[in-house]
Formats: sequence, structure tokens, C-alpha cells
Amino acid sequence: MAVSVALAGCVQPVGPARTADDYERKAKDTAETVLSSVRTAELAVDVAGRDRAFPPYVSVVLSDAEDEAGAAASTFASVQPPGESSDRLRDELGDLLDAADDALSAARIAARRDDGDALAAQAGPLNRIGDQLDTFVAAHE
Amino acid sequence: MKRFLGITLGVLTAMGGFVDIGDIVANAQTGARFRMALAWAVVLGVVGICVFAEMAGRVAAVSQRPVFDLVRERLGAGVGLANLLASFFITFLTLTAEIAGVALALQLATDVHYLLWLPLCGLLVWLVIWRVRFESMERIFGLLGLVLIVLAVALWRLEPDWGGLVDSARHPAVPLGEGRPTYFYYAIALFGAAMTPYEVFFFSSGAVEERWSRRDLILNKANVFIGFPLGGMLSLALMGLTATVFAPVGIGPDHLSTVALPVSVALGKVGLALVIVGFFAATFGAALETGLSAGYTVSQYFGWPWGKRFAPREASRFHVVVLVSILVAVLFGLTAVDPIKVTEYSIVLSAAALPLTYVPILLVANDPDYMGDLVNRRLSNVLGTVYLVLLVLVALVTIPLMVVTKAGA
Repeated sequence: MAVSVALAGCVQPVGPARTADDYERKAKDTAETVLSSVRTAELAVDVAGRDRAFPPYVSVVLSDAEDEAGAAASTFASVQPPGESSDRLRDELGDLLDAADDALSAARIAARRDDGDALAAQAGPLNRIGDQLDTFVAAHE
Repeated sequence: MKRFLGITLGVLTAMGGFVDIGDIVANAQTGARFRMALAWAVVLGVVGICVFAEMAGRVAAVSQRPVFDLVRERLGAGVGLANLLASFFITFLTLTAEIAGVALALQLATDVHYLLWLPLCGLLVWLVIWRVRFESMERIFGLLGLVLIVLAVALWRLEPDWGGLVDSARHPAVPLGEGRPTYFYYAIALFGAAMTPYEVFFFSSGAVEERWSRRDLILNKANVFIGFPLGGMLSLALMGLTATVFAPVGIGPDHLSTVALPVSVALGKVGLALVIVGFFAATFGAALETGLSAGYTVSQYFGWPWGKRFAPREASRFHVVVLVSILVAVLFGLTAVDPIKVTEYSIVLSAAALPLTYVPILLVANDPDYMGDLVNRRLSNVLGTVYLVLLVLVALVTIPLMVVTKAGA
């Protein structure tokens, strides 16, 4: 019993969305997770810019943030939208998730190359996407 | 100085109980999601573990018998075996997570993937258990873990809204957007982490390893009442840090890497280096604790010679259990199972098994045949009984809450 609970728990289940409300809730949860990753990356870029962290550490933070966001986006992508209104929501959030993924990847690549200027250049895009995700979450609260 | 070093058993045990890999992330998550609204669960856990660890240490000092020895005698072979299986499974899961935690700490310093570090970390843990004297081991890793005081220093440097943090702790409320079941799920996770069974297995076995006697009862109290509250204080500091830095911007720290960020913000590279060393020491210490506890529980149940006070050839079965546990834990870790998730589940599942561990301690601590004039006093019995009722309630609701909340998702 304990084994099955523990092992089952290690895999985040992807539940189906039977209604538009359910789908919207999953979209909001996904946006929150990706927002968390984007804000984490923003903070990491900030401490790196102020020379308050070691490059290997910043690289790990950004890589973890990218993985987390990627996993959330991929889980959401596998949920079947129940209707047309959900399709629109999927497109809207999909654009934001793509933009977040691009910015997180760019930041991670810059950190791995120890390219301070390129890393600092990602602060703006990360902040913008973070604000957009924030707005999305608030709109679907 | 000698007196100070005498409390390192309690400090090392508390580090494993309060700031191991699972606790580090669980405390950080609760701070980010609930601010200080779950501080009470940490305080409740600190009081509970102090009550029972004091009893377990006293029983070990007076009778020279550790907890699991008593579990079998008091509960019988059948129930004892069920307890052994449950405790061993939880300890094994935690061991897996702790070895991976050591590897994750090395990853933070090097950017080399933790799976590459994992076999080396397993080997190091085994070598320390095999070669290093118990006393040296507890002193090195107990003291090194104290580096995590940097968490409290970082919180102080951030100049947080102390009034707001205290208010959030004194008037706990479920934040908007969070469900009550999720709130209580995390409360149980924090409480379960504080009272993990392997802590008393390790602490009482450590007391026997160090040959405590009636003369060491003061040392027992010092270990318990300094070590565990210190661990609890570090938990609260971490909660305060993430409540201050992460909660306002919606960051949910799911990785060890993220948890170190507030220290970097507050103290720069020096603080970051110290917190990474602290993570390494705390997870390494917890890996030693759980690795040894795996050997302790099995050997004590079957009545084999156990412990580092014997030469390996005299306690060969004990060392084989430790070695195999570490080996299998490394192999399990190499499957890339998420170590953070493993430890989160292990602390929640341990909450379901708590009464089986703590009932025998309370019974024996009241038995004059073992304890003579050092049986429990009224306060210990009242607190012990209240906590046992609480532990039974927690054990009953843990699994349903885990299912309902999808493990706090």
C-alpha cells in the first residue's frame, strides 16, 4: 500500500478536463507554475548581474526553472480542451508558455556560456513575460 | 568545550529531522505559499520530538537498550515486524533522498548533474559509516550543519516586516486561493518531518553507542532541549526567508537550487557558499543517520550485534544491512526518481506510522522494572499521552489528505 502510494505520488497525474471551467483551472495552475519559474529566473539573473552568486549556481537555478516550466507546459499541452472557448484559452496561454520557454532557454544558455551581457539582456523579456502571466492568472482567478 | 561537543548527537539528529533535503524544500514551500501560517506545526513538532527523544535517551541511558529493541519486546514479534517493515521502508526512502540531496548540493557548486555525483556520494556515505568513529562522525557533521545558521542571518539581513511575519504566525489563516485540506496536508508534512521515527532510532542508538549511563542524563536533556529547538529555529528561519522573498512574487520553490536564492539575495557569494556547505553537511549528516538507522532497526529487531562500537567483523550483519541499503538507495536514485518528491512522500508516510514508534517508548519510560526511580514524571506522561492521541489522529488522516490534495499540489 505504502509503496504504491509513494510511487504513484512521484508521478504528477494528468487529469482530463471535462468542462471549460475545469480546463480554465488547469490553465491557471499551469500559468502559476510557469510564472514561478520565470520569477525565479528573473531573481537569478538579478543576483548574477550584481555579482552576488557563482556562475555554476546561477546556471543550475536557470536550468531547474526551465525544466519546471517545460514540464508544466508539456502537462498542460496533453490536456484535451473540451470546447471552442477552451481552444482560445489554449492558444492564449500557449503563446505565453512559448515566450516563457524561449526566455528561460536564452537565459540558461547565456549562463552556461558565462556571458554576463547576454544574461543581463534577458532580464527585460523575463520581466515582461512574468507580468503577462501575472495578468493571465489574475484574469482567471 | 567538551560539554559543548557533548551535544553534537542532538544537533546532528535534529539537523536530520529538521533541515534534511525534504524539510529544506517543505519549509521553503510552506513559507512561500502560507507565509508563517504553518509555524505552529513546526513548534508542535519540536515540542513532540523533545518529549519523546528525552524519554528515548533516558531509557537508553538507564537500560542500555535503544528504541527498536523495545518496540519488538513491547509490541511482540508480529507487530514489531510490521513496524520494522514500515519504518525500514520510510528510512530507505529518506536515505535515497538524502544521498541524492548530497549530490544536489554538489551540483549547486559545480553545475555537474547530480546523477553523476550520486554513486560517489553513496560511496562517501558508506566509507564514513565504515571508517569514522561514531563520536567523530557526529561532531564533524553536527557542527558543520550549524553553518545553516546562515539562514537566520540572511533573514535578519533582509530586514523583513517582522511584525507581519509574527502576526502571520500568531494568527494562522489559510491564504486566499489555498484549500483547507492542502493547508493541513502541509501541516502534517511539517509535523511528520519533525517527528520522523528514524530520529529516535538514531538518537537512542547513538546514546548506546556513546555508552551513556545514568550520569549522562543531563547530557541527554542538553542534547534534546538545545539540539531539536535549534533545528526548529532553522526551519522557521527558512520559512521566514521564503515568506519574505518568494511569497510576494509568486515563486514556489520546488528545487534545492531555488531555496538558496534568498540567501544569495541577502548575503551575496559568501552567504551562498555557506548555505551550499550547510546543505551538503545537513544532507550528508541525514544520510549517515538514515543509513545507520537502517542497520540499527533490522539488527535490533533480529537481536544481532549492532553498531560502530563493535569491530565490523563482530557486527558483520549490521554492516551488510547498511551497505546493501546504501547500494540499493543509490541504484534507486539513479533511476532519476525526483529526490525531493521521494522525501516529501517519506515524511508524510512516516506520519502514518508514528504511533507504532512512540507507544513503546511511553510504555517503557513508565516501567519501573527498566527505569527504577527514573520513570516518567507527571508532565512527561501528560504531554506524551496528548501527543499520542494527536499522532493517532494524524496517522488516520494522512493518507486520505494525501489523496484528496494530490499530495499538496
